[in-house]
Amino acid sequence: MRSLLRSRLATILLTASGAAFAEGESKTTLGGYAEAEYVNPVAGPFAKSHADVHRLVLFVAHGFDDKLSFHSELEVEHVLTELSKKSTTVTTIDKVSANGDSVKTKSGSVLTDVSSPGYVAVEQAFVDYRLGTTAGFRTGLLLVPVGIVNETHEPNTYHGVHRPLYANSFIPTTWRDLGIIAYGNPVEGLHLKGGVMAGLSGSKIGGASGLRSGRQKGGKSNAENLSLVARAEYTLPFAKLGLGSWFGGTSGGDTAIGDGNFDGSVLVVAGDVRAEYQGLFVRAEGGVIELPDAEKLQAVHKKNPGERMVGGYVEVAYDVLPLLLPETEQALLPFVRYEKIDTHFEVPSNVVGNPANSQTQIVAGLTWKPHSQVSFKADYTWLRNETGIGGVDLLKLGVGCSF
Amino acid sequence: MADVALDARISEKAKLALRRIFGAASRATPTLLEAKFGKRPSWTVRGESGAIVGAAVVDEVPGKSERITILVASGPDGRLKDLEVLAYRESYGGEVAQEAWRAQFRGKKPGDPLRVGRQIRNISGATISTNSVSAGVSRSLPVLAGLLGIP
Repeated sequence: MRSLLRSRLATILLTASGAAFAEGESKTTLGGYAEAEYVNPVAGPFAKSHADVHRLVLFVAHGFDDKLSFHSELEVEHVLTELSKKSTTVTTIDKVSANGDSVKTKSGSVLTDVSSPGYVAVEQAFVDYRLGTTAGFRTGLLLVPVGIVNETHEPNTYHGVHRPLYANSFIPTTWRDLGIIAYGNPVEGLHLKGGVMAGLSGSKIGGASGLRSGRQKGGKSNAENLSLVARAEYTLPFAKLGLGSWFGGTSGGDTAIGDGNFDGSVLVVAGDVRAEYQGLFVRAEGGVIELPDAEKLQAVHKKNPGERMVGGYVEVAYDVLPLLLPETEQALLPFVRYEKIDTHFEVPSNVVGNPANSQTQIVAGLTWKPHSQVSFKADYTWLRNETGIGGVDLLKLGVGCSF
Repeated sequence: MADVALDARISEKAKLALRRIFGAASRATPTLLEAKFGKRPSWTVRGESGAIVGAAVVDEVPGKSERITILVASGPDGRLKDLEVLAYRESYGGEVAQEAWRAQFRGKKPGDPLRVGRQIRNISGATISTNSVSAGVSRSLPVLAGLLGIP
């Protein structure tokens, strides 16, 4: 429910910039979301707790008319990003004294770059053109339409302080790049979309986080490998079903892998279900990622990619508050989520399979929603891997909202 | 809250919706309704015999970034007869226009709780639209009852 700035402000700004089309139906909308967290590693190798404003995101959208609009999402993660200079005093041997000792004198300082933990990113920026009431296309920096959380990632839309592990190390949320996607509703309840996007980079795909480091994020993306994306969604009275897919090369034109469009290819197929009934919420996602050229990617880039990755989770939540307060507008939802991902489910002959990449996570906690767009969260997370070592337990508290 | 005015296209859709809901022989008389939340185009509707068969009002509620324009129609008893989405301006989340979702509101009377997730089903991925449209129906029903002279 974003506040409309239909407003004088928009009119004045546009008029001031010389544009004459501020009249009529055109309008600018502001929105955003934010999430803050406290994470305490109760058990495991990381000993230190942290507190963080994980994300602050601003949406700006502008409707030029009923059909043509611009949408953008600008994000700051971890509060600040700056490249500061750290001054280090350097001492140099200036001369040797008469008794043979060296006499050190300060000769100045050296400045080294130190970067803060945060970063600023454009997550979406596209123009949407609706050609009818049920179809259209959008082009620019777009979200990849695979998985629930990649497209709908506001903190009040998922349980737990952090997004699911599946939406981090399997579907590399927030996965976006430049492209063009057409969409339409051929029959009531069915929403289809499909298009072409700039590809992943095979030079960094591998290890426990799978595709995650292979995202190019739309900043001067190498566009040698145009990828195909598609998603189908079907809405039933109590559930929504989704199936998304990505297929594209990752070679970036590197002839050692192949300079064909689909060389070093990655195929992602992922399905999802969201069901709600009388305060009971069930979600499940699952998918498989195939890298038939993993052996070539390993030979060139040596990042230990799996040839097949698998992952999925099931989550159940129930709103208990109406049992106690039948008239309440608020919601209090205990939830539990069980996740499993393995980015080394199968490995090529030149990669040694790492059992640490087979991870199981259980998150149990509570979401309190005094409003549908505001969530206070608490959870306990058990993260384990197949080696039996390096597991962590986390106690997390968080707050998030979107508007 | 802003007033709602209808452009020619939406006005035409509203007339079609009124004919669909109240029958081709019905006659809708426009009135301008000044609700607490702003001025709203509305109609009292008479049947073939001249008796009042209902009333309807157009409301606008916020979607994710665009307005959603809905028509809320009540029968002579003040209960919701039907709900129509006249304009949905966003690319995604248009499921609020689906018959199966709208059907849940039929027969609701002013003051009935219309909480999304309880009395009204949420649609995953369209949470803002479902909450907004429910809120629009909630505030429109008492206004229509007033128009129909129901205490």
